[in-house]
Amino acid sequence: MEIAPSATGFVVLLRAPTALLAATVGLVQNDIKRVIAYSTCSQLGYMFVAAGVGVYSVAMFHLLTHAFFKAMLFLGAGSVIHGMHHEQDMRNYGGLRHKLPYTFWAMMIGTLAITGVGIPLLYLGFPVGFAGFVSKDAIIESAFAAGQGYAFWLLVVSALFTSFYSWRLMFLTFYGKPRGNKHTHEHAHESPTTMLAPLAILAVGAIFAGMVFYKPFFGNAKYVGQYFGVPYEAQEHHAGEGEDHGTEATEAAASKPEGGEKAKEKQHYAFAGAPGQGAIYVAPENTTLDDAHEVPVWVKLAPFFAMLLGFATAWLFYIHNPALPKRLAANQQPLYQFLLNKWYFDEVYDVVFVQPAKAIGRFFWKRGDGSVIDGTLNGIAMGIIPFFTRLAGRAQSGYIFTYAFAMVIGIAVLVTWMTMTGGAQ
Amino acid sequence: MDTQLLSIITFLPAFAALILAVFLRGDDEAAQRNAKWLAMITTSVTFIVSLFVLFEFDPNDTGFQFVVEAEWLLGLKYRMGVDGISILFVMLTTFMMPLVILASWNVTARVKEYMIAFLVLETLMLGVFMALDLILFYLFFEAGLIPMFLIIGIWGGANRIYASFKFFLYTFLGSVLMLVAMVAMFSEAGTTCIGACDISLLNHNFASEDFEVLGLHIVGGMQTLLFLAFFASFAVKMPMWPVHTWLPDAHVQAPTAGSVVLAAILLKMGGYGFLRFSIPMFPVGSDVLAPLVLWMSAIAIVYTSLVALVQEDMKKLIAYSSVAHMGFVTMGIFAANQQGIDGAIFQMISHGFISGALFLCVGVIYDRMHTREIDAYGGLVNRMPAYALIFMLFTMANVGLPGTSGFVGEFLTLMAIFQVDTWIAAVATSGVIFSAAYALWLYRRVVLGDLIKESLRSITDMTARERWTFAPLVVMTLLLGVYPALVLDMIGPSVAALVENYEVALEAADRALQTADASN
Repeated sequence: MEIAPSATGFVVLLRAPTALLAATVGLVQNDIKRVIAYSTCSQLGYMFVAAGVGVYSVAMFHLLTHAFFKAMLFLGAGSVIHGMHHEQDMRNYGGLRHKLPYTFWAMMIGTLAITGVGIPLLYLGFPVGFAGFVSKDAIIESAFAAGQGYAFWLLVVSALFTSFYSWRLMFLTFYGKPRGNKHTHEHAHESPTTMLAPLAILAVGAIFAGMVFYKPFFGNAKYVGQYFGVPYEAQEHHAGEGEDHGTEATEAAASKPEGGEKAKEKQHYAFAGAPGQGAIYVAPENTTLDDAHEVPVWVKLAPFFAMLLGFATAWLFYIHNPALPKRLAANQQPLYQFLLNKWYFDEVYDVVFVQPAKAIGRFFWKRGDGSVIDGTLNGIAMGIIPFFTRLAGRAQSGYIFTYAFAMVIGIAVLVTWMTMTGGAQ
Repeated sequence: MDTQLLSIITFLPAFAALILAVFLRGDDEAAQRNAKWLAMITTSVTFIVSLFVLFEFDPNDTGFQFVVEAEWLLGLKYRMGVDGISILFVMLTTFMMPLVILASWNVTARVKEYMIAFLVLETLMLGVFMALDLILFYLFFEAGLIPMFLIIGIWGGANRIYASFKFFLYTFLGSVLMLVAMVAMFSEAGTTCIGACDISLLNHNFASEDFEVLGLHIVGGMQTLLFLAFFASFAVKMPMWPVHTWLPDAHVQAPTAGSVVLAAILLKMGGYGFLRFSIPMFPVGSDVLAPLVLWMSAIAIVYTSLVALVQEDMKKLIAYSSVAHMGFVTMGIFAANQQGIDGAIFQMISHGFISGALFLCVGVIYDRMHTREIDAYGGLVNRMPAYALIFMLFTMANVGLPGTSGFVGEFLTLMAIFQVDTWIAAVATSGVIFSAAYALWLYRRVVLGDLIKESLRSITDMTARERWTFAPLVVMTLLLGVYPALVLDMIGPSVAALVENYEVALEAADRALQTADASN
């Protein structure tokens, strides 16, 4: 985007599917921490898409908010595991919200944050919603604004899956009837304060980080520029944006009452720095950050509805009709196994990288080092040289006639040589 | 500076060895204890004396310091000195030797002779790094083979005879060619003085005009031939691919302390030789053959890393890893810029600590279980937490994790080679990934997991003596990792002078070539 467009394009091409891929794996995992881990992988996909479409501040924004709610989810999972005597399989959880109330509420806040719960289209100088709502929607809008419909749709679907697996985790763990070892469930206990206090602190961030840090990361070029120390300048007309302005104008007309304030907010700023000025570099012609605020309404609503859909499905599967997932897994066995085994990535890597590396190593070792190098040098040292030593040894037989014969030959050679070269002169 | 400090450092261990040989009688427990303590005290005192040299050393003076000179036999001179390039190798040697002796505390067979061998070896190794006379250098360089030959051959493992002969013959064969080159150098320059005298080899411009011999056109002429002869010796010593196969055998068969000396110090003689002779004395020859050496280094890094991946013997794995790391050294040296040579020296020093420590790590569990098979272990962390921690630190350092000394050398040499040839840099960098693969996999198989092997149930954690052996190495690895300036400031000016002389010599040779062409 800035200096290496094909590189950033490649990042988007590769990372948008990452978000989706990791999310699909998260859908079916049974280990509570594994779900959260694949969720992290998926969220990293979001961040890289943001970086790939040229809104670096937004990538960092999601990194920041994600730090809060993901740390919280992991610590919450840790608290559950601790309370359940090191049981990590969600199939053996259930109904824990009464046993671990504080952990439950912390995880709930984390889930609301990661799934992106908020009030769409409401703008009070900042969007209103949990941390993940603000930052994730910022990425999805940026992807659309950058003309990456491909990334946009992948990310929206990922948002649906994110919502599903996050609520699945909540429902399996904290709702329904206790499953698994009865003894473990009877002794399930809330974690001590030392474990709960960090959750409380992170909860504050998971709720407010998005709203508080909205402007410096996803405001306009002025706020972002101020925050990152990048020079910026006001612009009267936004070059090459005529069409977008058209739709924007009608939209602005529709929401007249707050027009005055909005117009002021909408005054265009553009980055005007050179590389090295400020913490990030955004080229003046990179207007994705601005364009992202002016995407159509349906784009802004898309992740929200994806989230609702994911929630509804999870509710259907794990609260309303808990037998459904098993039937689905049985019906779609190949797909289920494919996802459960993480797309067989480990197996593919083993075949593509690990085994060949070992095979090449073994070849170099046995054939290269063993046969060729040692074979040659040891062959010389232990084969050819002893041959000559044996030859030389045979000459020294100790028999007089051998030595006499050698002398005769020597004299013959000497005489022949002197005759041939006329050595007498 | 008129001081005999260097002579004292060099010959103190030999003197102690003499005392042991002459005065120590018997082989009972008391005699063994006396031999160990005398060796321990001598090597420690040597280290302390060498610290005086280190503190008095002026890094900004790029010439030789603490020069000692005396008449020797047949008009040859005994001449020793240190400069920025050699001082740290001297320090490395004196630093490692007390640890080596400490690591040998369990030896029970022929303790007196064992200690004599190591003390004599220390003298000879120090002599190599300090010698300022060609013949003296050759003497120390070659004589060093003998104690090591004996250490492997007498105190080694089951296949020790094969390993010791292989070690001896490989290194000796290379050195013979070096001797021939030395004679040629003397006949051309008329002196055997390396530096710190009026007519020295370092100041002599060896002939570099192309010539024909046996129908071959030799680019770089005499210098290329001399370079090749020295290269034969140093490449084996280093060891470089494809003459590295003596090293895994020697390491596997050598006793722990022998492996430590071999990896930590003896291998560095090759790198030191390149820096003392090849680069400054034969710049044109170096330049002509640098691409070959660089590619050999890159191949060595990838090849030996892959071989290390599939080893079943811990010592062999670490030996192959050593060859790979020495690949970075030769790559840095023949990149022939400041970062490259800085990085190469740094890598050698840091590899001295790290590989030494890794061999000690193997020694710790070998002493308990008497096997080096990786498959015989697993889950040691459950019984040996302290060992697991130390082994992990050095595994990470071997991988080149930032914050350990292993990172600095690799990074500097890669940065240097990137400026010279990006393809070689790309190949070499992939070796870093393989090194992570084999090192972490080794650690996982030996230390992590559950302790399921019955034989390991009663294994004990490291003793106080073993911990004290590791402590200095841990400190140095971390210290140089976070503050590499300790080394780089010491060698910087000398390396800068070396690089500058190298470039000046190349330019001069280039000009000479052009004028020759013009006059034709």
